[in-house]
Amino acid sequence: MQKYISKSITETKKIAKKIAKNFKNGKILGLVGNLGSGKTHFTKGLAEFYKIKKTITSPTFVLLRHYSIPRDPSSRNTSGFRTGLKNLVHIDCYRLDKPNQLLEIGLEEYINNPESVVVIEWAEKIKNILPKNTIYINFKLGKKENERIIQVNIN
Amino acid sequence: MIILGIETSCDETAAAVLEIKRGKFNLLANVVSSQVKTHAKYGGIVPEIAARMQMEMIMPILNQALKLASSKSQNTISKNSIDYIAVTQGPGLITSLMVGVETAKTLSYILNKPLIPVNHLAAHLLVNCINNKIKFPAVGLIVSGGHTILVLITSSKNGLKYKIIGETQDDAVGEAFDKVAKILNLGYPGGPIISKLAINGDKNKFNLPRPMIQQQNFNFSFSGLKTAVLYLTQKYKNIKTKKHSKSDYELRNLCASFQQACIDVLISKTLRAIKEFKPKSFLLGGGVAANPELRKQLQEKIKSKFTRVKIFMPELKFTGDNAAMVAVAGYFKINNNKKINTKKFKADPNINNSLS
Repeated sequence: MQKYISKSITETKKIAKKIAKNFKNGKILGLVGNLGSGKTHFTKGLAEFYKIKKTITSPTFVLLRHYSIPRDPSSRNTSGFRTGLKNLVHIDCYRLDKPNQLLEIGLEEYINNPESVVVIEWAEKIKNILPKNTIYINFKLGKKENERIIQVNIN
Repeated sequence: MIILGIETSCDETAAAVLEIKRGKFNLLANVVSSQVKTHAKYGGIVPEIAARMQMEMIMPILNQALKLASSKSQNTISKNSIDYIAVTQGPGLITSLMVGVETAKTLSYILNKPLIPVNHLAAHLLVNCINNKIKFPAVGLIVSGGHTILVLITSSKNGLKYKIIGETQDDAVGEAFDKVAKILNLGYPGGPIISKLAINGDKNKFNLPRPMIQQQNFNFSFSGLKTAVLYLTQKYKNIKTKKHSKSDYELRNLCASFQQACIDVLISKTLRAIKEFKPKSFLLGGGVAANPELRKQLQEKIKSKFTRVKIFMPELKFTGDNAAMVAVAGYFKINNNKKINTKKFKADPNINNSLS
């Protein structure tokens, strides 16, 4: 378990980048935390790390947004973190009460794909359909106004 | 000419019959089955319920629209009188969109009438054409639960062209209303509840941020405003308590202050866009266009600064999702509609890069 304390939106994004650095293959990240705790900004940080130019906006309305990860021209060697990754999938379960809906719109296709990083906000709502290797990241409000406690649980 | 409009992009199932005679619109039927009450129980739209309800509602709604159209027209209107079928292709919830798109495809096949795919966002703006002759170029502001977008619409030989000039970088304004209502335990949908409470509130009571207002662009951000409200509720713990107490006033003040913060940003960016692109018209559209304060203040501000710009705001019945707007938007695409391969035609939940 790793614990980070963020003092601003910029720091939350930096923490996301730090965590993403260790990913070589596809990953499923379950973000857990209340409204305004920094989940979407964390995802924005991931997108910056993967050099995605499109703006990451809240997927609450459409449930799922897909972003293509551009190929990294500098990663000619096989150890480059971006060599194998092609998709960032941003999912929001805020409005869900049953997980089945996500299966209908093709969640499995993305989850079983080693080329995808799947970020799921309000992941606790669909815990029972997520694979065991899901990395859960908890977001909590700190004591000070802009402070956030970000806790990464890697099994 | 008769256009059948079908809209199922989110939580409403809607059908409309629009008659066009010499370029004039005559709306014969506009039926909307709102599912809001069903969803209110859950504090938001539940997509699975939305799609299932849509499947149950679509045929009765279509039949009701045709029946109503028949009773309003001098001629008998049946499904065979339809010349075109316009349907929302996206953006929206994929499972909901599919219900409308598949129904439209089937009808198009059986009746052998052309299908016109419509962008839901363009439709929200073009509904203003239903009773008005609008001159382009126009600046359009779409405000809803899923979108906050400023668009420049120009007219060309090949129909209307759309360019997104600014949009939200995080949450949509309607989403901010819904989430703030959730933080304050007010229920769903948040927009009407907050705007009602705001009427008797002091909008200057709480000093909330106006995100991105100083930035020299046309983009918006509402997620920080939501967080600012969250901090206030932690600071003033009793703000969420029961009505008919002193804290009720504070709740009203907070609602008014939050609403004003949203309105200030929306107006400021709209004025900037009008100044930059010098349009002939301004069009408002989307569910949040029903907000009375937003309408009032937009009208006043644009009028005072740009006297020549004509302002168009949809009637309240056309602010939320409806199919009349889909039929109208479909009409504008008839002349330059490429023949659609019905078999390949699919719902597309993410189309907002191009509104055409």
